[in-house]
Amino acid sequence: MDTFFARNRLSAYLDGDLPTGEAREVEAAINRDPELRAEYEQLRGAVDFLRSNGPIAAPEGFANRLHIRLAAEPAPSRLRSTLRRVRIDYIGIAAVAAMALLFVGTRHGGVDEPPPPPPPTLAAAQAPGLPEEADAPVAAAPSVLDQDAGFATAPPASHATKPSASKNVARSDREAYQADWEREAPAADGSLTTGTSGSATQSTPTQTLYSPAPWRYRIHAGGDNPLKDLIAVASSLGGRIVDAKGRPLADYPMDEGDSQAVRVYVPSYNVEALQRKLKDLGTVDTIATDPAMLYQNGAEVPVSIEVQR
Amino acid sequence: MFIALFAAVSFPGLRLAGPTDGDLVDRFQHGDGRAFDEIVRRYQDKVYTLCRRWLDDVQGAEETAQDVFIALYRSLPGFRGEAQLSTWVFKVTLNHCKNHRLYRSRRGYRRHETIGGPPEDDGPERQIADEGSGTDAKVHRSEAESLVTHALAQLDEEHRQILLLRDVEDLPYEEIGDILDLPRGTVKSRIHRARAELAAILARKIGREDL
Repeated sequence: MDTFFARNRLSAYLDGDLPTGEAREVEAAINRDPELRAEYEQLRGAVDFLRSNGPIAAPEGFANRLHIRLAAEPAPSRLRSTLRRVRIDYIGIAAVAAMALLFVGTRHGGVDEPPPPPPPTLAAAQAPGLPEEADAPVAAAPSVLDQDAGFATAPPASHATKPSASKNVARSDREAYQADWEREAPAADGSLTTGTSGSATQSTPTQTLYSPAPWRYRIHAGGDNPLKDLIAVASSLGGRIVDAKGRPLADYPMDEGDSQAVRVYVPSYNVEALQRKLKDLGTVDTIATDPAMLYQNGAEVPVSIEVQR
Repeated sequence: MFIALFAAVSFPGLRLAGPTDGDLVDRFQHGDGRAFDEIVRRYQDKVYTLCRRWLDDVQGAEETAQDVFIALYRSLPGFRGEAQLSTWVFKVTLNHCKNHRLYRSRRGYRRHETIGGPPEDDGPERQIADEGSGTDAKVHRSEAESLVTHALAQLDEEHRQILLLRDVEDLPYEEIGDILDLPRGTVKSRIHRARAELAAILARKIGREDL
């Protein structure tokens, strides 16, 4: 074995990870070549140094402080964890089924047919996750976020289906539908709804396609322009931020008492970073979280946020 | 005692060293809270070391390490044992450390440099006191720890994490591969490059003869 090959195996040799024959050859090369020997000694010295000085014991009282934090946690439950997963699956299936129904309806269009059966309501879709909602620390008056109906799981696609679906409903229904659609249309400045909490989430046929996000927060913002700050936060975490209609959020200065529901999509590993950054923007209430979503290989996770000023 | 020793010698496969991670997870999933205490005891130094070596910030390291255990506490009921618990713990720890570091850097956090400014890279920077007893040993330990910290900080992220997992946490190649989603060959070659880089940094800082 020449020096080049031996040099590339020094680390494995050090770990005792070479087959016996190769290890012998490396050893011979080290004994034969002083430069290689020096290199080996340096490598071994560095590894020994790191091994002997690297580990650090957890500080005294670490476990006690952890227990204090854990005391604030709800008791973990396999059932809850399973229900969370089931709920997510269920919502996905329900959304696909609803889309399929709309698609079929579109293919048969042209005649005034009775309206297709309504897709599963939000309440029905939420049913398997109810225990989680029961755990929510904040159960205040109804607000945008409590209902969380104005968010699209796949914002652009689901909105794209709405006008075509409306072709197939009876005229009177279509008009009602259209009226609802227009009522949800954004204001000229691009914002969806300002004003008191809850005004953005009236129950409409379109809202049944949406599902609640696994992570939901309410911020009582401290800054003058919290939406602008939130856009910056989402962008810094490699995420995107949309309004309740699934369009990129256009910020506007909020008045005292205003409320705005938004949804931030961030990579799953950045959900906790988002939570920390929200705290910089103001007081944060956690309404519901699903930690099981956190470590799914960076998949995009929707986080619903209601900003109150 | 004698029986235990006899059993250990006669039946090497017999488990006498306490419950496995899998046992603890199972007990926790069946409502035994003490099992989680044992998991914390088992992993707190490892998790803290990784956080500390990654973040070089005592307070941030503890906070991050605790966040890791809280995430573990929340998710353990749904843990299906498809990977080893340790793999999951180290993976989560690395993710938390990276996020914390990113968060910190975006907030403009900088560690305070020494009055003399950042250390120069050319030429041996310092001598480590001989290891001995009492105060000398403490000085040595502190100097050495500080050197490890500085040397690790100069490595790029890939090299730092793989060295921490291999030479500080003492994990086998296979588990490192699982944690970093890398094939075994890549793990080996990356460890080699990372060690060579570390050796070069340490040699510059303390001189070859002291290594």
